[in-house]
Amino acid sequence: MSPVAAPQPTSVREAQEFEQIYREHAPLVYRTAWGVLGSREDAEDVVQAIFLKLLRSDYRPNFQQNSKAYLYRAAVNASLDVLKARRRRPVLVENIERLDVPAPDSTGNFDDDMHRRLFEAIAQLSAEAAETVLLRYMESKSVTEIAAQQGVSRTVVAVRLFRTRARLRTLLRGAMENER
Amino acid sequence: MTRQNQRFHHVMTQAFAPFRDVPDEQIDMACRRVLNDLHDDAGRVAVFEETDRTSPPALAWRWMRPVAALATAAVVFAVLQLRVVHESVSRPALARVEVADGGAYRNSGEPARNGDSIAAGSPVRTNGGTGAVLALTDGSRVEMRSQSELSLERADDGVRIRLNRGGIIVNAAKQRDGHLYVQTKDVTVSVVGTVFLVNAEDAGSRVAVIEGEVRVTQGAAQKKLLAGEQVATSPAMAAPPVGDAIAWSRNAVALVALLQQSTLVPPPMQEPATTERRERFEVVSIRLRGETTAGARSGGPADAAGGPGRVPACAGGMDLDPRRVNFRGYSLYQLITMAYGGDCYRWELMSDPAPLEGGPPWIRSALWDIQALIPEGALPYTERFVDIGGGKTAPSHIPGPRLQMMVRALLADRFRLVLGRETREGPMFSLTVAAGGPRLTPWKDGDPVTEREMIDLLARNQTLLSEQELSALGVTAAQFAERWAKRTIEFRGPGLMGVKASIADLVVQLERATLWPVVDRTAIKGEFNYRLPRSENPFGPIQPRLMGGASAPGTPAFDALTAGLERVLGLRLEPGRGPRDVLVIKAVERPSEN
Repeated sequence: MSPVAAPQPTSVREAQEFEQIYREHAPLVYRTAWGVLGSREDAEDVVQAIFLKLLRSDYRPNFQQNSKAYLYRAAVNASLDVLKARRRRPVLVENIERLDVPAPDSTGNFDDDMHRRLFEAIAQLSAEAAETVLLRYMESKSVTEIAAQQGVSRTVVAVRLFRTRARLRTLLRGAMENER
Repeated sequence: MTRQNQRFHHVMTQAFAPFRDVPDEQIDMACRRVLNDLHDDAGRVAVFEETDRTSPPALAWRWMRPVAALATAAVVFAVLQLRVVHESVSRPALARVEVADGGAYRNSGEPARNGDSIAAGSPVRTNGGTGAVLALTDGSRVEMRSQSELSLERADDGVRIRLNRGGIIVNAAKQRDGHLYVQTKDVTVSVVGTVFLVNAEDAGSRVAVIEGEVRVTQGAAQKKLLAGEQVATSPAMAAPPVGDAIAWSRNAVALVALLQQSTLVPPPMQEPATTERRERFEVVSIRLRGETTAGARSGGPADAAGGPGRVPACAGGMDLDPRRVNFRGYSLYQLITMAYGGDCYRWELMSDPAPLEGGPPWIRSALWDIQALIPEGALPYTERFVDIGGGKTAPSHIPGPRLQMMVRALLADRFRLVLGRETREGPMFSLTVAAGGPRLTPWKDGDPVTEREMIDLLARNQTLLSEQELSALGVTAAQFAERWAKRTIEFRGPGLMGVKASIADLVVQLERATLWPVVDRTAIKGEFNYRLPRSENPFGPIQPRLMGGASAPGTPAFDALTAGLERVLGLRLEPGRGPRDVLVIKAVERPSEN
């Protein structure tokens, strides 16, 4: 295959196509990144980074085959990179006024420190493990759905979930004992 | 499941719960901000330190448009100035300044003082402050709102007030043998003795009659308006009730009393002007999403505000693009607030009087999914660039008056909604200067221009928090500055703060904080930096919602706010009462679904 020329959306049609892809998928990337990072600004940076890369590259085969899974994985990876970069710096969990996050309901108070500990623990996971646990608990997907999205068997997902839970439990041991 | 597994499951569920329920509008806003950055080469380079350009060539025009617009505006402004100077030759006085509180200026730029004569053709401008009152030689009084400009000239059979911008209330003396005219760029009002309001805005003009009658001429069309009636020359103009429109006047209470006497039976709300009747969606689909119950989570601040026993009515989300609007889980209450320009959360908390009265309980509890097709080319929203911190701006799509008109038509057609407007007396505040004078720091070139920059600067200078606040955090000022720089300290907002902000900006913040209308009577103009630390101001940006609007005089929160305003900013917030318009539901039906 000959080298591909710099892939710029030089036509209006390409620009429109890019915006269409962006409008369709950016919310998923944003929510995923925010869920991992707990910071709106960082999540926006992740969205920007991913779509900028997409804009600069031609849409790779993986992307065209399953764009949603591709972008989800890209969002998790980019977010983990951000998390790892700031591991020694505790996450600033923005206050509730600025985020407009729905307040915890009466069933429990989930405090900012617990969030911070959890993000730090997730930062220590592998990309596959982090993606699996996020799909399970953030997206509330079933094992079957996760297997379909990741292109692996249900058994692989189940084993990966089991191991990741065990690892996270270890990392969160102290904090979880205070959480009821 | 083992106990340990249960705990883990609980932790994970709790951890991600807030992100599962992120309001769609918020995601939408974030994505628009990023898209804007992606379109913006400068932002892209700044964030990613990449040097080559890959943006679509067409997008480069985004930079050109504002430059071209500015250049055009500068030329037009210069031409207008020349014309104004040319016309302001010496002519006989037609009026004198009766009241000017420092915010009024004559053509030469010198302040207008009480008793000054106003010659024909000589413009009078009001900037900040409380406006001005002119007394015409025929005995008529013209009250100018702030940010207005007019000039006077002789007409064939009387005097003509040429209103270039802003608003005036004219109390026209009985004309013996002529007329008093008010002319804007697109409408002429002629009277023989009455009280009326004229607003001249970019979009068009609006005339409202408080007492008597006027004749309004627009092109070849002529219309007679009676007390309580109003007309706008453009459907794009907001149409607040007459009582609201005159609230800025120093005689607002008397004028509203006059209005009520003149209109013994308050007219039912008209779907504004015939031209606005054309503002309709092409196709509307309505489905019932479900019913909320008292104390249910709304996903928004109204939840906390509503508390147990109250049905949250403002939980819906909206998607807007050029051809389609999608209301997700909107209650009728929320639709009405949207259609009439209100803030749903704020309305829910306001009482004495409540902004919306009447109607069955389902107007709050029944949540509807509504999809509507916008007529091609209607563009019923405005794109506004908002400051998102870090020196960046992002586009925000604000539903405009045309979309509001379309929703009003939808409410009338499908919900059979009939609303009336009635005037109630309610609490208001006047913002005045305290005895020791204002203590505002003027903004100057080189100062930060965004709140975030200002917070960083204050933190660096270790003056961000008061001693009490630092004590509450358990750190010294230096420790706070260091930890803030590293973003390793949690800091719950800056309190009431303005950067490069005018008194009008402060008024908006105070209205949000107190839930009451605030009238600026300070006559202070210019741009300032100010901050009322949280210890002085118990209200954050949305705190009043959470506090159920407990901002009435006499409450500790209110007393803290007023004391802080006076001590820190040298301003006073004086409670009083004034006219407030409320919407009253006269009739409504559940819509048939389709």
